[in-house]
Amino acid sequence: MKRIPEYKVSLLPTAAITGVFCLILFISSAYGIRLTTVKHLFDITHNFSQPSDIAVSKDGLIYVVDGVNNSIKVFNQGGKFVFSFGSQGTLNGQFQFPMGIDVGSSGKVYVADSGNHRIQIFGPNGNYLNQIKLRSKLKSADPTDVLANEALNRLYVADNDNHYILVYDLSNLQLLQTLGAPGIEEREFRYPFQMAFDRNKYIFVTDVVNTRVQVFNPEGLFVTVIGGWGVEKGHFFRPKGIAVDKHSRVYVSDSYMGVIQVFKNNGEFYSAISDQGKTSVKKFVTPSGLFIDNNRLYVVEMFADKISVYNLAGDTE
Amino acid sequence: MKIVDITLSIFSLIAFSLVLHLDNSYAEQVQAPRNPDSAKECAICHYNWIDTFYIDGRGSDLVEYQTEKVAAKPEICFSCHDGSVVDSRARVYNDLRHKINKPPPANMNIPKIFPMDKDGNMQCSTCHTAHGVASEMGIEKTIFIRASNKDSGMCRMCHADKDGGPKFGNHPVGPSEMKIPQQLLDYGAVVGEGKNNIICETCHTVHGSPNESFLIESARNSRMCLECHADKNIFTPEGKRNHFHVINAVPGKVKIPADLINKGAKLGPNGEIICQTCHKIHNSTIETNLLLIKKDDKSGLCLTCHTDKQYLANTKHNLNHSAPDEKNLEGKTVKEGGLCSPCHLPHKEARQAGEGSDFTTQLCMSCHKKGNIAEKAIPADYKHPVDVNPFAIDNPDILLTTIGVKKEELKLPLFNKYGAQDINGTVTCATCHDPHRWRSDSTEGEINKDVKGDHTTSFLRRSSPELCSECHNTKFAIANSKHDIEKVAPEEKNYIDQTIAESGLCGVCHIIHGGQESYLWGRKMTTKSGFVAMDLCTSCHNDKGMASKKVIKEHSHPVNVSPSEKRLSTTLPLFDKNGKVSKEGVMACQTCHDPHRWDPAKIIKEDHSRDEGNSQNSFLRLENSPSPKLCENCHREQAYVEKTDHDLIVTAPTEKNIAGQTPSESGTCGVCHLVHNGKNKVKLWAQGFGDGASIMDMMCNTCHSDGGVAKAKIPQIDTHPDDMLITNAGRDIKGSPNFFPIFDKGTGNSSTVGNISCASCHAVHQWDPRFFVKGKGANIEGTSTDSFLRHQTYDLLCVDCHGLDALFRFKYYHDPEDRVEKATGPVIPSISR
Repeated sequence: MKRIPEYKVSLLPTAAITGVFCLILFISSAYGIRLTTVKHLFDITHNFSQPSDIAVSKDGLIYVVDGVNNSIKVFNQGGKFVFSFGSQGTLNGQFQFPMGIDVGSSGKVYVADSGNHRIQIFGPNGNYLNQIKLRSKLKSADPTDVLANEALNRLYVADNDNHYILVYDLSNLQLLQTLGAPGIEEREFRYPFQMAFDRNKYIFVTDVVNTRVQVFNPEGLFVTVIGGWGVEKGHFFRPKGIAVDKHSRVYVSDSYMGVIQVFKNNGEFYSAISDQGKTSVKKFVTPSGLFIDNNRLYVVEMFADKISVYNLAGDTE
Repeated sequence: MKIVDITLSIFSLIAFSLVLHLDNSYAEQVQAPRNPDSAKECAICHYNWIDTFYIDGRGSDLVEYQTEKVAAKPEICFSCHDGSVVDSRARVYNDLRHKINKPPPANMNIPKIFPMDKDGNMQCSTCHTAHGVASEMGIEKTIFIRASNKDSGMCRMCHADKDGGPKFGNHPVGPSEMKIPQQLLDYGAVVGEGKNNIICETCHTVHGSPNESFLIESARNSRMCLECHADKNIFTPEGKRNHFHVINAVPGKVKIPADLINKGAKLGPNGEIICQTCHKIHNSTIETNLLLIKKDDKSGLCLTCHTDKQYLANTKHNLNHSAPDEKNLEGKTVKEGGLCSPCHLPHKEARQAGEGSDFTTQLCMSCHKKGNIAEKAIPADYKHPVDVNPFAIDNPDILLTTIGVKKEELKLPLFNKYGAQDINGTVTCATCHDPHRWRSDSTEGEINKDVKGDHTTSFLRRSSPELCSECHNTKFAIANSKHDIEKVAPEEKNYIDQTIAESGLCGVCHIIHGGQESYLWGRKMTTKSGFVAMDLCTSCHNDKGMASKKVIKEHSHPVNVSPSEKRLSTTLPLFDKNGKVSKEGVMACQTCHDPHRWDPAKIIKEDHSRDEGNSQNSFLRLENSPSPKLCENCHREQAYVEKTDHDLIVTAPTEKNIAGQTPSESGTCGVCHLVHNGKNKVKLWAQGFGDGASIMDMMCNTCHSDGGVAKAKIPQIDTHPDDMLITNAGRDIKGSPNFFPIFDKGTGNSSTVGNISCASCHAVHQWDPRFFVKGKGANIEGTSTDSFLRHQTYDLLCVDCHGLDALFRFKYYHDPEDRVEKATGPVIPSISR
């Protein structure tokens, strides 16, 4: 496992001043946690039934996967309902409990239609365009998330049950590559779930039962892992949603602990999300899908059947 | 303390702090679990076993210290079953699942292997455990459960009272002859091992059902039951209706008793009858068909709801009395099948259908036909029509209706072809007869199969004539009139030798089963005119008949002629030769008379059978006085006479016609024209005759003469020289502006050659030729532009001889003085009468 610590220990403890400084540092580290505060803007509720993922288009439209309702619901930046599409079924444009979503730079909407074992592609208005029937090495693939890099013509699909990331060519919708395998080692997964890009189009994948995030470069080469097993800061119990901000900080939701942790892109724990003005870690209700758009953080709270929208305010020590 | 000691102490402190700092900054990096292999695999569900909690005994910066056992809490399960590991969102986590967070029923014996939580509530862990047994059915079906669920074995461990099949009051389980339908399998039905093995999960699914009782399809609309029991459906797959007990319909008159509901009967969401209204699928106390009430020879189950049918037991329709050996299509006698079973089986047809276009009639005729058990009571050939919609009137403009009630007010039932009551249905046997009740006014019956019924019994829904009046209430005004035989001739008998006491009021003239073809006529017809409608009336109105004093003789209004041939139209009913109402028919007595109603203006309930008639009543369809509405219906142009000088109701109300009637009694028209039995053929003239050269003049001069009612209007000269033969060729077209009629001297018929008469210049029914209106009710002095004159044009016949000037001096021709002094036209010879 490749890990690149950013901080290095320096041995300059010969002066009392330095000792005092270290003492202060010890106290702050032993009894506190860095918090990244968020300011609650509004919630989106629209008769959701266990929503799972969210994506925002360049035009600012907010697309929410309302999975048990077999629908994609679309809202404006103010959280006002605009339109929806989809219904239960197997026909084009219909869904069987979809889970993940992404909106490409072109405005195309990619939906992981889990129960129908396919990715469906829609226009920005929800008009059906095309689909990819997933093939997998093992049993039929049940995609839980999708990630589109239209500049590279790549589409990444989390094949949850089979523990792969499938890479498709968007130009011809053909399978290019299968990343990973079942297991606990690097480049292996136990239930890959949701994915996000950073600004360099590195791919961040939550690896649920391995309680970690794995990072790949755009070509699919393994880079590093984030997190590990446990409940201490920097650890995960049930990592689910993931998003990367403009500073390349990685936000990971833990649905059981109900927290969102922030990591540096080298995997180092950075902070935990807190409400502005509060000194404690913020508790969410089964936080699942995450999305960061400019300075906004969207959190899908699955069991609460809502999307909570925040402004990323800043950090406090 | 030495300085070196102090220095050492400070250094040690700094060093210790540094070590701690280093350790902590390292901790900010990802820290590997201290016991990753064993701790994680268990603690991944046993959250409180995580080292931080279990070994260190504390919480973390992210979460509080946890000691509670949460491994089987829904939140832990959902943390994987939210789709991130297994997608159970729709099947489990939308409340469509076996109850959790609640205790099991108090009387349920839960085996100890199914643990409750600390509060005694069921949780996911009650059935599921990660440490469960291997299932023979495969991991996909029964993962992580505490016991093998082969053939729903685990379900039965708690729900033992639902097991065992019909002997224990439950739906059969186990291998079945019946194939489990594919549709049910598609919905998620699970079949046990072996062929068609019915198990709990064939009907129920523990997770994800939106239906009641976790059924894979709702039974509230009977669909779940009908998936397998399709042969019980009232509709065939092709959409045809079976004659079975109705399901999925809200009962009409039938009320489901509370007692049945208390016994477990269920209804659809809107109160519909469903399979479970009669059948109890689990915990029924009755093994046979899992019914809610035991079947018996008295049809107790049926009569629980159909209480109004219980009186059948005391009637001839109880086959125990009339045909105990008769078997239904199930091969059962009434004793074996129950009281209702000879005619009704809930899920089969009970009898071979008889004749008829609707099921109700077919059911009746299945017995009431030759060779069958009710052959003694076969309706005769001519009977009250069935399979007709009483509200379907061909032409509502005709002043004759077959039914006098509004659709929504009809109390008698109509039926659709499937035998279901339907307000848009048709008349059937069961419209008038309630086969379950001998007398409508009593619950007592008549079990003697040889007893003949009458108009108060015979399974009639009401006694006659009240029964008839339910539809034909417009006819019911006949009561207490001259046509009410009970009042005028109670001993008279109808065609089948019944007095009115036996036949009922309507039965005097109409025999419902076995009457004569037209109108089910129940009286002997004495004439055969070729027009049945008239012959009906002459059954009584003949010299030897019951109405011998009211016989229509010569010099009466014509009948059996078509008004259209006379260029007349009418909204009064016309009749074809068979007596049926027809727009192309001819006039009959019934055209002007409604034999069921004495007074067209009002219904008289008191006895008026001895009243003498006039033009306001006399069974006329429309009153004819003071306004001549009846005559006007055909003779519209003649009706302009109303309220003119020629309307004697206005100008001479005390005058009488030759029948001795005042104008009010005879009506405006009856003053001059006697409709029945007049003395004169010409124009049915109702007055005497005055002087005159022709019959037309004689009729006018009856009044326009000394001593006559119009003595003030006697023209001194009213004739034209006889020797001047006149022809009116070109001016003999009625309705044209230059119409100038000439009449035959003797007959008054229209002629083209002859002499002029009063009526040549005068249209006696219209005051002003310019206005087609009635008069104003005032006796006014006329001018040369009105005065009942015909059209004034420059093309009248007079101009031929008398020049244009004559046209402006009509009145001159009746005044000898004017004729002499003011004559400027041609010399006219002096003429005297």
